[in-house]
Amino acid sequence: MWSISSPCSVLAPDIAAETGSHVSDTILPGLERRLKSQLTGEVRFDAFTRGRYATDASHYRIMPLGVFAPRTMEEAADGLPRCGNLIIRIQENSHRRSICHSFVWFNDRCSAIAYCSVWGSCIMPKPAVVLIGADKGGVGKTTVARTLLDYFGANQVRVRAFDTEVPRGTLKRFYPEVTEVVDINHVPDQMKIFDTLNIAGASVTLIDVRAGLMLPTLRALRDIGFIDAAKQGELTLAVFHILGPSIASLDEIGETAGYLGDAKYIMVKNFINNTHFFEWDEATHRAYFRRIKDAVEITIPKLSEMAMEQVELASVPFASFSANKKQKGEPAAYSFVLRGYVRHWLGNVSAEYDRIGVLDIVRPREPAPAVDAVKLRPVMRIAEAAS
Amino acid sequence: MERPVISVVPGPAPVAAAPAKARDGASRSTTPLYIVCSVRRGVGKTLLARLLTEFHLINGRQVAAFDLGDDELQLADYLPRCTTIGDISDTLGQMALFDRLVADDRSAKVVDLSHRLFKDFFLVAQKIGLFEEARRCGVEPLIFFVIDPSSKSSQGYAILRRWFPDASLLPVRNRIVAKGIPSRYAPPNARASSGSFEISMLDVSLRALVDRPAFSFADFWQTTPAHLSAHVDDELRTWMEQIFRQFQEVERRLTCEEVLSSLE
Repeated sequence: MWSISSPCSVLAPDIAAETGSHVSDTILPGLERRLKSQLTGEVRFDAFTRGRYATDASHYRIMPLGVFAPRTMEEAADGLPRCGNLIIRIQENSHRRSICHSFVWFNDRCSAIAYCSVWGSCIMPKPAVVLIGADKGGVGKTTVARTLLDYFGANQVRVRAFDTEVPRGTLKRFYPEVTEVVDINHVPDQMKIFDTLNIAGASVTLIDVRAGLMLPTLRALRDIGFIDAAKQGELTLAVFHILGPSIASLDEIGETAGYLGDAKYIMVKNFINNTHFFEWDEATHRAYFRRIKDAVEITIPKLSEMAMEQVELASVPFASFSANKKQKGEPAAYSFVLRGYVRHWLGNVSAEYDRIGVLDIVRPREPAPAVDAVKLRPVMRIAEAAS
Repeated sequence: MERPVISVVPGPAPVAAAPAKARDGASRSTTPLYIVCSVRRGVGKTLLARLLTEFHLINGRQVAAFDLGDDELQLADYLPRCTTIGDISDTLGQMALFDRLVADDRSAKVVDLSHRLFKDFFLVAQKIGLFEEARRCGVEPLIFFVIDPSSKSSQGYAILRRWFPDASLLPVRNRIVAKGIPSRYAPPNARASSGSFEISMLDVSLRALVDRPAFSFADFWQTTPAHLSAHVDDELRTWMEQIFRQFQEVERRLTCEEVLSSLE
């Protein structure tokens, strides 16, 4: 199902500048009036709105004739051509993930007089937020966050990260270019994270939640309506809960479950810190798990202490270490044995992420029929006579 | 005395003349890494590792030997000056060994691997991607697997073949210690195109001679010991020539990058 989330701009060539007159009257007399009467979407031809939509993500600037926001795909496809004696050419934009399709209307002399970009939620990936946390410290939250950043990087998923460990920011030390240190309790920082999900240029936002802040963070997300938005399918929320070795972890699961709703809940048993997990009683285990829909459990295997220590000292991502590279990509001289151990371990961790389908969680597959429907006719004449 | 047949690869090309001095392979573009192994003790691993190391010394080439031996006489006892004793029981020891093995320092490496460490060594090698990294660094690995007719040997060979499908794996028949091996015996899972390496029979007295810790193949090759009769000298020299010719053939194949297609 298409959801039109971006207004469409009806673009004007330079005629407006040449004539100095009201452009809509010059190019298509009565266009604004007709659009308003025929379309249910919002139609605006004022200078401010036109100015706002004069640019898109590219560096081009074309002043639109007017702007309208169609409410449905049908309205976008059929409504605009009512503008006049036009030929419609529908182009598939190469940047399908940012702007899925552009509609360009031409007049008889093949000069474009209208332009419309349709953004569809089925092609634009839903923003995904990945929370990594635990109420206990020292269970390896940042290590798991680092493996996830490497995993997303290896799978060409654009990701940005927020490190809530103010002011130090361990995650930022390893991934300085994609990580920002924030105070998750600070409203401006919350805005910085959650108000920019759609425009940040990254489809995944990863938040490494400081020890003890997991439940407050979930509470804050609930209060700002974020969890409801996830329930309504407007975005994806996945929570990686790093379990501690004690029975208290089960209580954490129970408390966390109260906030999650339809979020993907992944329980992580992290053995990297030599943690020894007790064997949970099966009935108890099930009782806690039942509270969370589709909860899955993954295991992060142990990595040789020396390898871990050397990666820490190098302050580089695991992937860079195994590729023998420094932070800026220069060749390094790390031990081959340690690189081998890190590569092997990271491969096992990635296999765990593959097993539970992390990529499918954060990057849902596009429904094929919708895409096919918009692989549109290359050029078609839509009206022979002026209205 | 009848000379044993040398079998380097199926249908070996006749060797024109025994090398007065083993030829120098200085033009090679890759550095060889030889791993001499077996799943059983007492099959001649150290003997082969000694011959390999001294073959390089005779030719004046750099060679580094690594002894991952057990409680018997070890490579380090025979060649103390060019042998490092390795320990792969911890990460530090592994770093000391494996980081040197993949170093492209134009120095051939010979690993004498004890049957006790067979599994551990190759487990680590697989985990850290030893052979892939070696090739990336311009080092060409070759495993000499000393065979015997036991099922354990077949299993060991099969494991190596399965774990390292791209590795050059050369079965070695040592007729000195494994008399029961039929002449056409090959491990059950050896590829039809696989060649094999053969250490031919050696007289008991000569065997006792070469087993002495003070004995050096390089010294013997370069000077004729006064206390040896001409007959004994000739027999041992012929035996070494046969082995060195096979080393040359192996080297040639490694150098020509044919080892994968011809030995595998």
